[in-house]
Amino acid sequence: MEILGVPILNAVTYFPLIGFLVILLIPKSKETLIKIVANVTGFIGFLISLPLIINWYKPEVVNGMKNGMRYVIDVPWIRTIGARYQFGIDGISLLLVLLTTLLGFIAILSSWSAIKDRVKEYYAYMLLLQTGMLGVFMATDLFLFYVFWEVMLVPMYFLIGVWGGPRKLYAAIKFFLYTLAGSVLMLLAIIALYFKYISIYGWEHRTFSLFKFMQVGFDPQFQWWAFLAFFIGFAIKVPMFPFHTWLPDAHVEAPTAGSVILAGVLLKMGTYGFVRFSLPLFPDAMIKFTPLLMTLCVIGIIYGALVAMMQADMKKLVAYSSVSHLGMTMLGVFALTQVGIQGGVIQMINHGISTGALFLIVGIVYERRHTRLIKEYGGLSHNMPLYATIFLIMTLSSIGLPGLNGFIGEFMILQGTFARHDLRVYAILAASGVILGAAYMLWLYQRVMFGKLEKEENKKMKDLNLREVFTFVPLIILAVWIGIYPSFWLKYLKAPVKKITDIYQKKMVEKKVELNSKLKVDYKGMKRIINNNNMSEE
Amino acid sequence: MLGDSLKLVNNILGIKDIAAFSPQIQLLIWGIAILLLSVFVKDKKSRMNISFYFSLLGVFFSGWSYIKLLRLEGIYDGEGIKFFNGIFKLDGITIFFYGIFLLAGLLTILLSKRFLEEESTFESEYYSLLLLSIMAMMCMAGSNDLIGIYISLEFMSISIYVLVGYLRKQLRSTEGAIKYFILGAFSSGLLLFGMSFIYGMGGTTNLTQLFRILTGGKSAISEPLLVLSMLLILAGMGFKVAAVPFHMWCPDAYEGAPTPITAFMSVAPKAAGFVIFIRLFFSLFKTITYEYVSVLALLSIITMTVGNVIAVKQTNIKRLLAYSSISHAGFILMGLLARNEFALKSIGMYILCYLFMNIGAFAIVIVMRRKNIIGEELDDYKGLIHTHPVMASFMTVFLLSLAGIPPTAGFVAKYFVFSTVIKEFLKSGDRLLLYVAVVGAINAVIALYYYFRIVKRMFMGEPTKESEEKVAVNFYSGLSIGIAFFFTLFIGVYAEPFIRFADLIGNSFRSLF
Repeated sequence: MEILGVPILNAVTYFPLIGFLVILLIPKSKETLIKIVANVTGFIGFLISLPLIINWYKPEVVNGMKNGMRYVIDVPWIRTIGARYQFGIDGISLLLVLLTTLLGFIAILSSWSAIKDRVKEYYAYMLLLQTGMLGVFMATDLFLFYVFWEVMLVPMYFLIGVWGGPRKLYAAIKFFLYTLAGSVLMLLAIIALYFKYISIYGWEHRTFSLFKFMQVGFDPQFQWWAFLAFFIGFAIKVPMFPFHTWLPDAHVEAPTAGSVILAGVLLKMGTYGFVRFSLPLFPDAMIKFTPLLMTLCVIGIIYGALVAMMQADMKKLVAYSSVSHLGMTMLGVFALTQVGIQGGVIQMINHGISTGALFLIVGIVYERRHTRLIKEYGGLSHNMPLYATIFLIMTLSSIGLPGLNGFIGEFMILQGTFARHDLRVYAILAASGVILGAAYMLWLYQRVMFGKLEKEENKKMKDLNLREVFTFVPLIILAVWIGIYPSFWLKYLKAPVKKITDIYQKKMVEKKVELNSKLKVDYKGMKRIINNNNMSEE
Repeated sequence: MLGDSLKLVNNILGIKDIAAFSPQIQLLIWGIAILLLSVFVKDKKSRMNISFYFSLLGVFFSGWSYIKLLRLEGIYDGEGIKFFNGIFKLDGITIFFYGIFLLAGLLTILLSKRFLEEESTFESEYYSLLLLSIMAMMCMAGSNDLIGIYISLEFMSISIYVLVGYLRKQLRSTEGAIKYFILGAFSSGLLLFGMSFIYGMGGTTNLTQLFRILTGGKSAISEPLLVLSMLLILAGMGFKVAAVPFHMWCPDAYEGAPTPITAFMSVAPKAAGFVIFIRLFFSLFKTITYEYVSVLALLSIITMTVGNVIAVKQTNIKRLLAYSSISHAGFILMGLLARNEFALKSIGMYILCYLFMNIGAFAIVIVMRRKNIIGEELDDYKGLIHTHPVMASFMTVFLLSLAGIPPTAGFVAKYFVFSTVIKEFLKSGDRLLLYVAVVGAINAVIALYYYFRIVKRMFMGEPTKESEEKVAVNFYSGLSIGIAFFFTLFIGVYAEPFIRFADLIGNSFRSLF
């Protein structure tokens, strides 16, 4: 697949970079032009990512598959060390790439009136960030992956640091240092994997390719160390429970679009990293650590929800809800069952949609009133009916109401976890997080939207304009789409997840972790339900 | 006069022994020519300009001879070529470091013009000493003899002592020079002391013969004495590369020296120091493994950490970069932990990357120096993105590179030293190596913090009234910054050709014995 002679994955990844270079050439004073260029780049960037999904089942694409990856680009890069420029996407990456291009465009569109100073730099960073993030989801060479993984830190640092709130400097550097600390350890582990591979296959076969590493059964002791290093890198990014402290700071201080990208895409890089790298590479370590990881997830779910409930700041509330939701996502992934991992991945997308939208929603009232404190609002549904409707849909999506996207993800995660006899207790505990989620979100909605419209400033607030509505439309469509017809999306996840679970099926039999036979029936039943898309609404 | 000297050199190039020295000879000739010039040209302004062009020509012609040398047969295989009865050796290591020194010299000379105009002090010795110190370093790189090493080391050091104290009307310049001189002389003493033990045991100063005698397993060689001499040489060289705890002179000398010289010092003499490390520790002390690894691991850990931790609190950008260069020395020492071809290559790669990014960062400091504000305090960089957006962006790239963030040269450099240590760890299973790597990783995070103290001021601070004044970047400093910027990014994106260049030094591993 090519676009104008450029391999499609390159086109998708580097198109924002072209926009970035164009913006650098435009004089600072022509702000409208810069905005137009950025928006057009974002929009076209989204459009050129659509052929990825449209052509997914075309014979030439299917035939071009390598190691389960489509649209593969594989050329030598740094020969002397064996690093290759290796791009490729499977179903998991596909969904995340589409999410990235869509949210990237929405984030750029939403900043039209919110960003008033240093417009040129702002859009330049946004586009640079876009390229970095897309590269992460496509790279299958660990060296290349690492490069993209770190590249995207820099524009994000500036987005938080320059256009952020009062404590922006602190939040920006905290974000950078936390993520860097994790990723440098990951680099050490990547190098260790590389030399371990060389010690087995010889210097001539030096490589950073994920698929080559997957063929090697690394010894458990080594897996243990390497997993730990990767775990710290990814867990900080997700963020999982004790590593989450940078997240509320970064979210609260970041500008709206920054928060949308941060919650929608950046955090997914951590969860994606687990699914793409940790799970296939370190199965022994993974099984060994499951109880610990599960415990961290459950703590994250409940702790995040409880803290969210107590927040006075809307953005902080949504930020802590992210900690809770991502704990849920990781729970599904670490359950290591087909349904669990699929649920985890679809929940990544859901979280991107609903939390991204919630940050936009907070951003809209913030732009009008310059405060995010819940007590400053109340009764907004009287003069902002359209806003109230969208807010409600997204709240319900975040809570996991059947018929909207959140339900599918949470249900599959809990079911996938419950299916494993030894992990039931975690599933039960995690389910309480769903209830707590409903509590803090509905309470937030009630305090902001209902009641009497008392404050003078709030009375003057205008409802959404057309541009703002337009930013929400794709998100709402997706939320409903995933909610009532999930199999359209889930079908892309089936094969790549199967590849991962096959590894574990074998290991689990070895380790005699028995699946509960009764629940196995339910698990099949659920699959049938999803496949026939007989969800309650239809 | 010009034509005559050229003809002379061309004639000499034919002679085999002198051929190895042709780049040095070029530098020597032009260096002396600059000195003589001050006798004939009385007008200060034109003298300044002519010396500048002369020094450029010197580096250019030296580079030309260097390129000719590259084609000399027998350099890259096995032993390399020996000259002057084995005192001097031309192998991949020599060739690689020739390149490093010439590049560092070129960038420094390009940067010097504007600085000297701004300071409005000029003596012809400035360029002359610069060329001579490059010459001495080149001699150092190829020395295959203890005497040769010592003499060229002293030649280099003395030239640089003088250059550090060049701004003699400024107190801090004099202070830095004196400190550097006294501690430098002391360290030379230690080095000589260590060498004397080796000579005592081996009875010769030639490295090739010494290697055979010292590692031949003869009973006359006493192990403790060998360890002692290794420690003494380590201490002596530790001073030269500014490893902690021998770093005391470094911040003062860096702060006091004219900024182009600081940039030069932070790269070239350091690289020269590491050549000696390679020549001595990879061969002579090959038999000592346990003491070598543990001492060097400790030295590396302390150097990285202390350099970084102190840098966090600095408010003067030159001092900050001085401490950062100390921590970079720690990273290079990490590469020395394993004594194999890969380690050699990674040291070479680190120095090559470090050359561009560090001189680049200093170049911005030089350009940003303005008459009414000194341009050395961190706060002078407030809001640079508003007043000088291009300079601020370039500086950010250099600092990112120093912090080791891809896609910049610094990342490739870090990758290689980490690789060396991890590789050796997997081979030997020595936990100490793992600790060094982890400490290195933690240090990368600390380093990022203080580099971003500068970035923070540039991008998120408001410019003061004085700093709003525009700086005109002259052609030569612009060229220098451009070269540094180009390579910093290019190595980061496509390191292949540079790794091949560093292979020169890796491949001549065998010629060390």
